[in-house]
Amino acid sequence: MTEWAAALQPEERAPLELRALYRQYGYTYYKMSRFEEYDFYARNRDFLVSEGVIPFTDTTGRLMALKPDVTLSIVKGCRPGKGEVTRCFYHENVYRVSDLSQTYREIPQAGVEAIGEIDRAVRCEVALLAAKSLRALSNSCVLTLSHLDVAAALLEPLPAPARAPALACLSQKNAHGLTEICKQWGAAEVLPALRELPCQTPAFSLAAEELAAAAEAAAAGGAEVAIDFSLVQSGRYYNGLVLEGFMKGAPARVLSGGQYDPLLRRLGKQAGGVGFAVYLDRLPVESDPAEEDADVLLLYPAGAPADRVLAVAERLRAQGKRVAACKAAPAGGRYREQIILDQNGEVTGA
Amino acid sequence: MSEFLHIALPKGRLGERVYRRFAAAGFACPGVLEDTRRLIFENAEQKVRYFWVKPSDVAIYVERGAADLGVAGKDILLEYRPDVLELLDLQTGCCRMAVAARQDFRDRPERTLRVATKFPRIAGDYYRSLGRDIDIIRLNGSIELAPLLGLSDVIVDLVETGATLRENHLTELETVAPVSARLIANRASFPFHRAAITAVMEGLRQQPEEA
Repeated sequence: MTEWAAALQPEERAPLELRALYRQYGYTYYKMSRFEEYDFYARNRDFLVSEGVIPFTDTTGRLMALKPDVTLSIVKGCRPGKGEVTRCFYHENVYRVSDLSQTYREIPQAGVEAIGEIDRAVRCEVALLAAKSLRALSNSCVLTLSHLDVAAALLEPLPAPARAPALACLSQKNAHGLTEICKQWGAAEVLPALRELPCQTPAFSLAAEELAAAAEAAAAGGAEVAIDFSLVQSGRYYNGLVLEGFMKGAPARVLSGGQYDPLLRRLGKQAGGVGFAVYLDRLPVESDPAEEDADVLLLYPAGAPADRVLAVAERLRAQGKRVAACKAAPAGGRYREQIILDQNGEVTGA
Repeated sequence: MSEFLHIALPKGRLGERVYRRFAAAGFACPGVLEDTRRLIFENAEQKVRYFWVKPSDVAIYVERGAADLGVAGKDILLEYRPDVLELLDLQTGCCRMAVAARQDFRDRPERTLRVATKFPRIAGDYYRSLGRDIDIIRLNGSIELAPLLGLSDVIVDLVETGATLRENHLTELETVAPVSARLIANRASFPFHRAAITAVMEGLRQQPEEA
């Protein structure tokens, strides 16, 4: 690792690595404003991951919001021509109100979006990029994939009011809860119902094919790939392939995405979309308590000539050492070696 | 299992009862049930590490990934809605979330109903589903006292046998939700410990609940 790369924190290094990866696949950098008119989010609130938008009034009295989501803004400004696919990547902070603590949060994200005439090859490419993104940042990672049409087929035998609670059970791997709902609504037992799934319907077969193709593509990305039907995400936002990524040492998903055609339809676009975001604030924390603050602690007394102190420090730095020049050793500081200068700026001891 | 599985147990009788099922399922750990101040116990051979936490904190430990698995009451899951997997109904610690009131209580639908509870979210969701306007009074204990002193019209609280209600001249009006202990898992650790967690689930499923 180069010196400058070693100086970066994981959340600073990650977007640079991802940026290099996405550029290899022809994705271009998309930079956007931090602000958007509040009304835009108010109209599309059901497509936001979190309800908590942070509003403010600008100098002209317009009600604005700190951007709570990147995809909405990209989709809004995107106009791919017929047969085209716009590919872009971003590295942005989004701002939300924490559901738990009700405090404001700044969340750094990086990700890709492909918008336009999306075919299977594009969906597979995005699944592969998701796997490669995880692998670029962690040696132990899992990408889980699902297809919402499969979940829809699973819940098809249930009456409409029972589907939302059944979907919640599915997302929690809550088999006992699902059984209860089936009993309550007079549907068949879960397992017999599964055996009678309409596997021969065109929609279901297509979903299974899509999922298999995406999983196969992702497997080449170096992450472990798993099919997991408990991955149902927000049904309003996504409509087909959905994906989530996990890294060892991170307590929550670090990547999330999928196909979001309903969002494009809502914004009046005759196009499809697929993409994902990597949550840079959730990357595993690198614990390296042994690392020193600098290689050398250069101690000089009050009154020592500044040019001598600087010259000694620069000489050491020229040898590739990191040097902290101080009058007193900082409390709790860690250094490989200590060099002491006298009143004249000469080295007296180590 | 190549790595330790961290399991958060709720302190108290329920946690001890659940631990015995873990032990019978093949995941015993020396010292867990001893009367000591230790909080963490491990079995290096089985690669499991248990720790005792306050029952209402189990879901937080699991959601935040400090524990891979935990045992939490359905009341806690409904109230705090942690983003966790709910893998198994352990069919133990069974009770119900219920609405109760003084025996002479008469509902007046034209008035806002005053509801005292430790579970404002559960109570709020329940009355919202009925389209009823309520005023929630959040209390931390001795909920039964609220209607007796005129602080509230009804209470929403856990009821096991109903003895406490009867002793305080209260009567149970409605069941809001059945409650029992659930095995929960962290979403992010599940893909990395799938085999071990499945083994624990299967083991627990085969252990009958103690009478």
